[in-house]
Order: sequence, then C-alpha cells, then structure tokens
Amino acid sequence: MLELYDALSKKGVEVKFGIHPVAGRMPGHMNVLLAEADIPYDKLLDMDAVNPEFPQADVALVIGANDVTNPAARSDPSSPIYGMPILDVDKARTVMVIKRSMSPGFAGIDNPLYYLDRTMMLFGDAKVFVGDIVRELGAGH
Amino acid sequence: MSLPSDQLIQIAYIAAIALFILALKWLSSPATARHGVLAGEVGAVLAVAATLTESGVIEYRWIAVALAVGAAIGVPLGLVHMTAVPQRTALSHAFGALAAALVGGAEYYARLPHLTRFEMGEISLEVIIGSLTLTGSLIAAGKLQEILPQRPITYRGQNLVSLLVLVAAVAVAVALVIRPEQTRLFPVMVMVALLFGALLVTPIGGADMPTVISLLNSYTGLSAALLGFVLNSKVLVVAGALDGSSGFILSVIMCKAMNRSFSNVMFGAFGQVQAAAPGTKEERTVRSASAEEAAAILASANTVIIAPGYGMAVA
Amino acid sequence: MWSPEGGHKARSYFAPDEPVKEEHVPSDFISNLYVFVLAAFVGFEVIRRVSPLLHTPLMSLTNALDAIVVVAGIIIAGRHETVISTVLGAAAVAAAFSNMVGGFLITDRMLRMFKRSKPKQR
Repeated sequence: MLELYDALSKKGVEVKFGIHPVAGRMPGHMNVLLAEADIPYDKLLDMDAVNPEFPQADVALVIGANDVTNPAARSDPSSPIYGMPILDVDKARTVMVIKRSMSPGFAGIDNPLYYLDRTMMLFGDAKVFVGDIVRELGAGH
Repeated sequence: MSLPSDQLIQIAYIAAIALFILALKWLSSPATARHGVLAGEVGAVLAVAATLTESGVIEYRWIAVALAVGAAIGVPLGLVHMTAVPQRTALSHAFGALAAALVGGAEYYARLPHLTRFEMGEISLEVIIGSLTLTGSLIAAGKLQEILPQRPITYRGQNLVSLLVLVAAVAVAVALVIRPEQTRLFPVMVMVALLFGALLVTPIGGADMPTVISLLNSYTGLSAALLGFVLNSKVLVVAGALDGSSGFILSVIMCKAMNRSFSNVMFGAFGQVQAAAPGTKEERTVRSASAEEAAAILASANTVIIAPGYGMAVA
Repeated sequence: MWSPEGGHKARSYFAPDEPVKEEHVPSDFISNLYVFVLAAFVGFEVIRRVSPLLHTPLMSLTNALDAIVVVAGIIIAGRHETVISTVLGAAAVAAAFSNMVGGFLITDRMLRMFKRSKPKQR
C-alpha cells in the first residue's frame, strides 16, 4: 500500500484516502491499519471531509470495499442499504475497483457502481494487483 | 499542619480524574495524542499508588500475585498485531466487565448482614450489567477471531427467548432486593445474566461488530460507574462515566454510518433483511482492465482518492 | 477510599457493625449522581472532539482508564475480611490490571504509528 502511495506521489499525483466510519472491524480501525502501513495521517480523510472532493478527483480507487461505496444507498429506495451514508466514489472522473470477482459483498447487495461507464473493474487479489500496478508505474515512463 | 493520609489519598484521586480528562482531551489530535496516553498512565499510577497506602489495606500478598498475573496477561494483549486489535478490544471489555462484576460480588458477600435494600439494588444492577457484558464481549471476540461463525446465528422466537431470560434476571434481582440474605439467589442471578449476554450477541453478524463493540464498551463503562455508586467512589464514577459516554458516542456514530437504529442492530440480525433483495438480475456489461491500463491512468491523474475496505487491510 | 468521603458512618467500611437499615435514598447516592452526570457531560464534550482518525486508540485508552476498577479490587483484596471477598477481589485486580497494562501499551503503539507526511512539495 505504501509502495503505491509512494509511487504515485513521486509522479506528482496527489493521493488521499477516504475512510468510511465502518471500514474495518471497529470504529477507526482502518486508520490504524493505514497508519501502520506508514501512510501519513494527514492523508487520511473521514467520510464528511472526503466526499466533497470526489467530483474534483481524477480517479477513485476502491480496494476491498463494497457496500460503503454503493450508490444505490443514495438513489434506490428499495435497496436494503438505502439511506446509508456512503463514499461518493461514483462522482470521480474515473472509478477503479479492485475486486476478486463480481460476487456481491458481505451483505449480499448488488452494486450498480460496477456497471457505470466510467468504472473499470480490476479483477484479482488486491495485494497482487496493487503490486502489479506499482511495478507498471515504476517500469513505464 | 499536615493533611491526614485519607485526605491525601482523595487528592491523589482527584488528580487522577483530572489527568484522565486531559488524556481524552489530548486525544483530539494525533499531534498531542501521545501526551494523552502519558497523562492517563500517570493518573492510573497515582490512583493505584494512593490505594495501596489506604489504611484499610493490610494484606499485600494477594494483591502482588494478582498484579503480576494481570501484567502477564496484559502485556501480550498489548502487543497483538494491528489487524487483531478489534478482538483484543472485545476481550478487554470482557476483562473490564469481569473485574466490575467480581468486585460487586465480593461486596455482596462482605457486607451481607448489613446490606440495605437500596445497596442491594445497586449491586444487583451492577453485577447484571457486568455479567452480561462479560459473556457478550467474549462472544464478540470469538466472532472477530473467527473461532465462532461470523454469520448471524438466528432461530425462530429468539428475541422472545432473550427477553424472557432478561426478565428472569431482573426477577431474581428483585427477589434479592426484597430478601438480600437469600445467598443462593445471587449466583443464580449471575448465571442468568451471563446467559443473557451470550444470547444478546450470538445473533449479531460480523458486519455489525463495530457497533456491538462500541455498545459493549459503553456497558463496561456503565458497570464501572455503577460500581462507583456501590462503593461510593467518585474516581470510579468518573472513569466509568467517561468510558460509558465514549462507547455511547461511538455506537451512535456507527449506527448513523450504517443508517440503522440501536434496536435494529440488537434485535434484527443483519443478513436476514437482504434475503429478499435479489430480484432483478439483469445482465449488465462491466468494463474490466489490466494493471497496465490502470497504472497508465493513475500516472496521468492529478488527484487520486483511495477508498479502502477490510479486504485491503488483510493484504 | 470510600470511607473518608464525607464520613458517612452508615457506609463506612471500618465500622461495619454500626450501620442500620436505611430505606430512604442515601445522600451518597445523590452526590455520586451529581458526579456521574457532570462527568458524562464532560466526557461527551471532550470525546466528541476526538478525531475519527483516532477512534480505535480512543476505545483502547478509555478501556485502560476504566481499568481503574483495579483500585476497588485492591481495597477488597487488601482488607482481607473473608476468603471469598479476598479471592474475588484479587481476581478483579488481575483482570483490571491486565486491561490497564495492555490498554496503555497498545494505545501508545498505535499512536506511535500515526505520522505526519514529511515536509516536502506542496
């Protein structure tokens, strides 16, 4: 994770992290895990801080998150998660989702995010895929 | 003129309380947070040292052994891997609740012949909350450690069964308040409360664990505060109230983040609700891409926001 | 620790033979309730300001603070009145102290990991 962050930062790309309150298994758990991965804490933004930034972002990269990025929570009253606050990743110019397969997440809810025209699905193991991207970033240019 | 040692001890407690509040205040920013831990540590050491000089404390061997055992358990638990922090936290809720329930029990047996009904009521409430938090937290820790199944375990009428168990615990407590000298009822009350704690958390699924942990946090604090009432100890009342309100705030944040209410988390096992959700299963096209393409786009971007989930954390 | 406060004889540990059964609400209870309500409000205001970044350390720190229950265990075990109260008290000391040690330790470990980005571009 830190390698991806470093590789992108080196290229002058501004990298931030958008953290949903229930990411991880206890309140604030994700922040601790990212801090452990040596990501500086001023790049970790909570949901309220990061959501206004998505429309200006070129890429939203979703790694291993599902329901908390599901736009159905905003738009589809019949969805079981309707009304749940989410990360507005779908408002970014390009959305990338790293995911093992199309299978629905823990709550078993289909995610319309994956069918958007500007969404790219990156199928594979998160760790391997991030490693591949980092290698490509290092190799190219 | 010198102060009597009893008053010095009280002053130490007041200083400890002030340090605890400072500790939490400094936690508001990562820049000062570590001072907060230090303040908390100083406060705790102060309170423990003051207590050891308390004139009523005459026997130190048991205490020394217990402190050694506690340190032997606590140090490894303080060194777990960061992905295991939720389990550790649940386990420490269990220990906190256990300690509060044990002291409540000890108080009951120690004061027995002179116990007023009011005191009995306080002790009963404290011991019930401590006991249910103990088993509830153990189950939560088991689920987080994946010893127990993460999926909600449900059966028909479970809310009714849980409710009946809770009513039974309260009924025994009421009987004890009426007749505190019925010592046989006390263990019964503890057992029933333990059972209720287990029943309460077993049906709750893995996705709701952040809320459950926060809620158990709040119960642990509440049991400590109630213990403070039982023992007439302001330092316990304050520490318990701080812990309780912290747990409460976090539970509310977690519930809001999932757009659920307390009762929904506690009584409506997740997972069931969505069973009816599938329905429209139209085939829609998905664009997939390779690492190479992804890297090219990322490299030419100005700003990238990463939204990580637990799947990433394990990687 | 409790007996010196206000010197309520009826609740005093060290004169356990004196108390009479009182059925009204003891004044200790009311003063504790004051403390509880005020502390809960202070806690609420202070903790609301804790950054969501630090919610996990917050929980482990409040856990460690809550372990102050250890002082109650120390008093009960240390008074050495009956076997059962001594054993229960000592067990409580062990359980609470493990939280105190472990809680402070892990909170500090977590907080040490939170680093600001190096002063560079931007």
